[in-house]
Amino acid sequence: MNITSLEGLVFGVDDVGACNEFLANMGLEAVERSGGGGRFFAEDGTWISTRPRMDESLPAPLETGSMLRETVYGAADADTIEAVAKEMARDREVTRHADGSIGFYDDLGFALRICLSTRKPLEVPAEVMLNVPNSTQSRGLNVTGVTPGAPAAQPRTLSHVVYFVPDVAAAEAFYTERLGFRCTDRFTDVGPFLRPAGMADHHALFLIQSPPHIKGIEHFAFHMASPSQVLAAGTQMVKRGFQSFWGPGRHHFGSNWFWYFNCPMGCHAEFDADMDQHDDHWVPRATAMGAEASQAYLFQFREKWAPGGPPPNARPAS
Amino acid sequence: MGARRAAAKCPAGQLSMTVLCHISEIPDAGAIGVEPGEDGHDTIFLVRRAGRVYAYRDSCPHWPGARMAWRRHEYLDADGAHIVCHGHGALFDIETGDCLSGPCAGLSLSALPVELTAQGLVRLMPIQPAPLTSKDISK
Repeated sequence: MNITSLEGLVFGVDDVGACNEFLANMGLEAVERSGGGGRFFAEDGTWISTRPRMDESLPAPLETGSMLRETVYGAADADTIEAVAKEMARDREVTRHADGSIGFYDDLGFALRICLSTRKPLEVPAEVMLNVPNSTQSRGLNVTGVTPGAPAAQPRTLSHVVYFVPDVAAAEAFYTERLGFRCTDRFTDVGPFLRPAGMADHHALFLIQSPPHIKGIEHFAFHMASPSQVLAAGTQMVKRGFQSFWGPGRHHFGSNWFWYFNCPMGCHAEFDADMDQHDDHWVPRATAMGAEASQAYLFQFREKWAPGGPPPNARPAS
Repeated sequence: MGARRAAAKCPAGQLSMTVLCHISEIPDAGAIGVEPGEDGHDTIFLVRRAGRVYAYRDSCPHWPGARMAWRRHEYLDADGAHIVCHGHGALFDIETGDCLSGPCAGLSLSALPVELTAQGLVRLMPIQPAPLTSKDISK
């Protein structure tokens, strides 16, 4: 199954205006934004769409009321879509859409869609490159890494989605055995990090074993081009009054830098950067979940200040 | 966003007598976050409803220490009927703080006793232990 991307997420929400406000402030480009919904693009064309919860065009909701209504993956070619359709048709209904995509539900009731991948290749801006001493890697002479006053960058691409699931073994079996996902690493008694076979990213999907009444989305993430862009985007969010949940920091599994925020779609929203990439030679690791295992380091935002100048109570020079 | 709404400060250990705000600062049928300590972010939120003020720690019982708004002062759902933890969408009753649905169903928010003075000041009454601090969050 040559699934090559996570393309988009569809939400059915209670407060469309708040959700649109949040997504625009993440730096996503609004290609549609009204009281009836919104559609927001990352730089490469991956997206998030918001619709009112009662919108009848959306796939059926999970029984828990989670606002995630559809997860859309991209395939390299129409043959892959046909192969998935044939595999799914063995034991479930497959809906064919006018644009050639197919829709169906996984074994736990999450709505999925497979379409042709629309991800656009992107240039690497020079300013995000690191100058690594005593090496040939450099962003170039006279290229500054920081532009004072510049707004945070647009998220580059949709990175991953995380589900609370009541039966992680069943969910993992569905994605690995029926859709060809690979397990990259695992928190024992919690769940696996999964990547579609045609994708190198450490995870596009992470599953968390949870009580049935919270089945649904835990968070979604967008890749930024660099760790510095994660810090810039998160700082901009904090300054605009958005509520940091966790971070900034850097995860162990996946090595990605992270910063999570509360989000009006009833889940967390993450900026990440510099995630590990793998192929089928990788041997999955497993460890118990915990504070040490989940992050290499963790920081906390503070207001800007600057050292220098006289002590606060110094007398003026006479 | 405007400047942080810092509650009137009082010496460490006497947070219990802190004036949190004037009632006119809370939108009718709305909520605000306040910061009685020096944590750098709001640690308590106040909901005004039918002339009464309800105060809770800004800490979801699902993961104690996790803050609840999606944006500063945004603690309620769109029609102002419930308190929401926007971490995972849990709904809470405004008057009792009880979780009605979500990960922490059956648990309750940490209510704080507040007094509305004749002048309209919202004061935090004596409590034990002290309000949540960044130390609690880092535990």
